[in-house]
Amino acid sequence: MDVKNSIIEINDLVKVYPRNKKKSIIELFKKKQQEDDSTDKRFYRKSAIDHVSFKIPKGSRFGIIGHNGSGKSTLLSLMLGILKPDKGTLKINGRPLGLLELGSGFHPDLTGKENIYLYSSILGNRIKETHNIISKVAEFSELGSSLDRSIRTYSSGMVVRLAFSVLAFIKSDILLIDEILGVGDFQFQLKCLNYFEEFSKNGGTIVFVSQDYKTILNFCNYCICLNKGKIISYGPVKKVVKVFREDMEKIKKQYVDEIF
Amino acid sequence: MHLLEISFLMVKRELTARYRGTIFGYLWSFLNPMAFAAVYYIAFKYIVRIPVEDYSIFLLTGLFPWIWISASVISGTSSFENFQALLKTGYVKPIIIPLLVVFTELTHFLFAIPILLIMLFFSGLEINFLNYIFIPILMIFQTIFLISVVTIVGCLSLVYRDISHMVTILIQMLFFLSPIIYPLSLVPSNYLSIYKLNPLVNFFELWRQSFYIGNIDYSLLIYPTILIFILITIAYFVIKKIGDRAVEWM
Repeated sequence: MDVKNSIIEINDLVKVYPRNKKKSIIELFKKKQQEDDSTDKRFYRKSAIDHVSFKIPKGSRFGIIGHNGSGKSTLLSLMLGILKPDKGTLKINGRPLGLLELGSGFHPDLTGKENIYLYSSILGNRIKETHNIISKVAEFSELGSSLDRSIRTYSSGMVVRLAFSVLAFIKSDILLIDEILGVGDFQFQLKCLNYFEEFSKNGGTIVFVSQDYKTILNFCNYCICLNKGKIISYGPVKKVVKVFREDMEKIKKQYVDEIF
Repeated sequence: MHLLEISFLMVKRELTARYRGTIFGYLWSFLNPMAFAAVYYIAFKYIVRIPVEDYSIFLLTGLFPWIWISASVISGTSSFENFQALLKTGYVKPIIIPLLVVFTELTHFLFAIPILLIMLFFSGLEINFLNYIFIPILMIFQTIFLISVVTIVGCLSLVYRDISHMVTILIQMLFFLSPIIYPLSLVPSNYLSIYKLNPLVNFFELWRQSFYIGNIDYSLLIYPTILIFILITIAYFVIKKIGDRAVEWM
């Protein structure tokens, strides 16, 4: 696929997770000898993202589809800058905003309002700017008087609602969404979708990660399909989803064959 | 600037969350050191009988900076682990975590200073108020010192599990190997050169000198300054190597 006006450019990207999660201190002194072989071995290991290259057109709704462990979320974290690439390049021409693990930055002992200030500041707003948007955030969240209670008393749906409401008033060029439509009630999901539509209409780019091909088919216009860290299909959404479904059928058949 | 603003909000969050719903609220931050001070006072004034005049003031001018140091380092060791949700948002740089830890404990220290001043006022000791100009400078020195130490131990403990156990022991040792509960003059002179390798010795001497002894020996700043430069360099590399990839180690 040839993209002229791209907002995200990913070229030969590799991401490998560290082999050992935790080490003992002795390894700090052993390091010298280890490093020699580990640099070689590292890239022989199975990578989370394995030499991936693609471009995301500006203003598009870009889907990333794949099974569990295919590297979708890793890819999203890389775009957001939470993870750093081991090899290859990732160029982003704009400010990304991640909608993943909503509400994880909140402190349970603080009230909704205090958390709005905190979260908004973490996301890059100055305190003054938060002053200006707080009434809008409160209105959008529809949480009303609950905002003066501590987050501890909130239901999980309310937490997500609050987090999303803050994010909705942060300026950005790219939205990175990780299957958040699964949470919250129907009414709130509609609100999210409306917001995405609006964002898209105003020229924003949306990257949407999901396992659910129906949502992707409805919502996106371009898509990639990942399998074990590699791209198996890339292009217009219909074509990619077709590949994904064929792949799914294959796996289903394998399972059925194994069982019977 | 934005980094400072986030740390301000985060410190506020830490303190509000820590003391909300407790009987004494912020008072706990005084009560804890005061209770320790009372115990040490009885133990070392009446049982060990350390020959220091105005022992209560002597003790507090050492104990308050010590609590700032030890609390920062201890909570700093697990800080990267504890604040992983913050890093996972992807918007804040990892250096915010050491800042946050040290500033939170600094706030406690700042709250404690009025108590010290009131006690000094009533003690009848002769105080040279000009020396108090030096307190903020010393505070900046210790803040930078602690931020680099917390950065190093916090990052390393993400990868090496032993660090947190080692830090706990080290802090306990340092308490008795620093002139907090006893004056430097009690240290045997043949061990003094080894004893002074501990940079905290210089800090505690300077705190006491500026609070009530007077005659600040500015040459005591040389050793901490050199050390701060070394620590900042190490902290820089540690944060490049581990801190920036902290999320992968969680």
